[in-house]
Amino acid sequence: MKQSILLEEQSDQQGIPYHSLIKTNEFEELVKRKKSFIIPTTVFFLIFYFSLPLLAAYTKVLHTEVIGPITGAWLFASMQFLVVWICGFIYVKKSEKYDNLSKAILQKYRKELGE
Amino acid sequence: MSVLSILLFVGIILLTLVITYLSSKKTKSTSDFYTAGGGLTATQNGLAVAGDFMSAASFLGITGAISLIGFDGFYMSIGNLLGFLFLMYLVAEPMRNLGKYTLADMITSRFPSDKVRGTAAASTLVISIFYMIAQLVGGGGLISLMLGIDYWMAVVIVGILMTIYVIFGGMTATSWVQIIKAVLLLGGSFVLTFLVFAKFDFSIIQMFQQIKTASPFGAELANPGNKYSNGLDMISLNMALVLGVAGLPHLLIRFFTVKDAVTARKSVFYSTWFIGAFFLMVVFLGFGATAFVGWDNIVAANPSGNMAAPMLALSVGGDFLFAFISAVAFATILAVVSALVLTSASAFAHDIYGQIIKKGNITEKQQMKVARIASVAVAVTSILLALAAQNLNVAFLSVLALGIAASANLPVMLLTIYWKRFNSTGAVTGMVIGLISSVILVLLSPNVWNPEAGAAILTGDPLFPLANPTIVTVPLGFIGAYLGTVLSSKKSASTGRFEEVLFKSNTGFGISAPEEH
Repeated sequence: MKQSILLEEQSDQQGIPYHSLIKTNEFEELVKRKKSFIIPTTVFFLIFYFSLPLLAAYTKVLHTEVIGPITGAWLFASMQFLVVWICGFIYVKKSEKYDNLSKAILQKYRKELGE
Repeated sequence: MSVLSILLFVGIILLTLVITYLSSKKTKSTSDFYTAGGGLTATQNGLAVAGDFMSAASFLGITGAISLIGFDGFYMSIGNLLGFLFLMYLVAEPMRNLGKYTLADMITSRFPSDKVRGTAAASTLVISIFYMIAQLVGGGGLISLMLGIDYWMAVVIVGILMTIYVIFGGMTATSWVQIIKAVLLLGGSFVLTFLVFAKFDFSIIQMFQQIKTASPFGAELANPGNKYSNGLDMISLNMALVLGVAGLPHLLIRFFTVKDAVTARKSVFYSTWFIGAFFLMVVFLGFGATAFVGWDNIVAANPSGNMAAPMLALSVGGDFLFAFISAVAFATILAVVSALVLTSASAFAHDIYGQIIKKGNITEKQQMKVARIASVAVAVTSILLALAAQNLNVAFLSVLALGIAASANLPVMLLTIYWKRFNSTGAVTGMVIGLISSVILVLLSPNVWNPEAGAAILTGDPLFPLANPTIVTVPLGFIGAYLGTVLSSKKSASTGRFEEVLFKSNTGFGISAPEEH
């Protein structure tokens, strides 16, 4: 995206050309990367979670004793804790890259952003 | 009650008052009052966020539920914990990047309209007050049981303390009370869990073996299905638990207490560790109570099992631990209700008075004064409602609050950030339909109606079969937002500042910076 185009569009709030900023390659890349990670992962953990109440409500599979007297329900529930911690950790790590991308955007377009 | 208990309760009260005094010196501007000046670290805010969720309902309620019905009591824990992951992935960072003091700030960053702001503030007030009534009624009952004082006195003591914290110490006091309570609760639960686990010979196998014969459910105690026989209702409850977390106003405003989105993200991440560890310990407490206090004794003390945790402390740790756990439970109730007072007061003072009535033409001093008056008004209203509701079974109100948060707030928040075509009319209709449908369906549900006299608030057949309407109301919230958007005329409705919101929510540009002291 060329500077001249950015400067032409001054119709946004406070004169900052958000319309063109969100169409820059860097910003589109940032949003694309975030979406391609966040959406599938969210879908995964929601499906993984809701399979617990679904299995509990409509089947008896979770009633099986798996380790000694410990039933499948508790093991599946413990796995939910692991999913939360692992997905949380991965997100924190992944986000460090997104943070760098967004810092680079703010730096590169600081003129357009009026800084 | 013993001298020891009195000393510990008084100790907790003094500690929180010292915190409030120190915080009051730091509370000079509206930003201090609403957001503690934005100066908390990720660990501090992580503990405070966890504290908001480690409520009396989760500590006493879930321990009791697991001890009495086994696995079905555990959904509360896992569902809410998963909600935090959802919150972290989709909501926490945009919230920090777009908002300033309230949930309405975030939505109006795209649609700067009084209607949108007013609706968001109304939804915040309804959710927070429902939640508070559930906490006050439950908490008042427990304190009166633990201290042997009258219910009304317990509610008034809690009410006065929460008001003092908020009006003098604002968000700083509210946060620190929450942090200290979270540490006490985690510590107390750890000691108790250790003692219980020792009695099970440090063997989880042994624990599951022993509880098989300890309740009327027999081996079924380890299986799902002892409470929820209606699958649809149970899945609906789980939707409220998972999706409600990301729409709860008193939780969302916590992200304004940190300086940027990175810290907001880390605070949710830390909170998932604190809450996760806590919820795992609660399993041991619940089953420990079944095995060592006895199923019948727990029911005899309180039919919903709320006394299981303190009774367990008495049985495995003696008088001191009982007094300590009771005092911690008391601190838990105080911390959660004060966060709710602050949230309601900011919706009233900042959104309704400052922005809608005064159009933002209001000095810092006036705004602080109004915020304090609003805090007192909210506190008095809640105390009166809690006193009136003493003999009603209002435990469902906290799940209702989660359901409204999931149905009214969450769809609109997500669409505000991610849907380009969304407009201001859609934002209003989404919130209004999500809110009203949740309240009406609950009013028609088995929570309120029961053909057996005295079993619920009113006697008669429920018109709506599910106790948790979330499975219907979340889609309604989305449909309301969608139809409002596509059916409104382009002239009257604005798609708002989508580009600005998209850019800011992803980069953190123009974030309302914390003040330097």
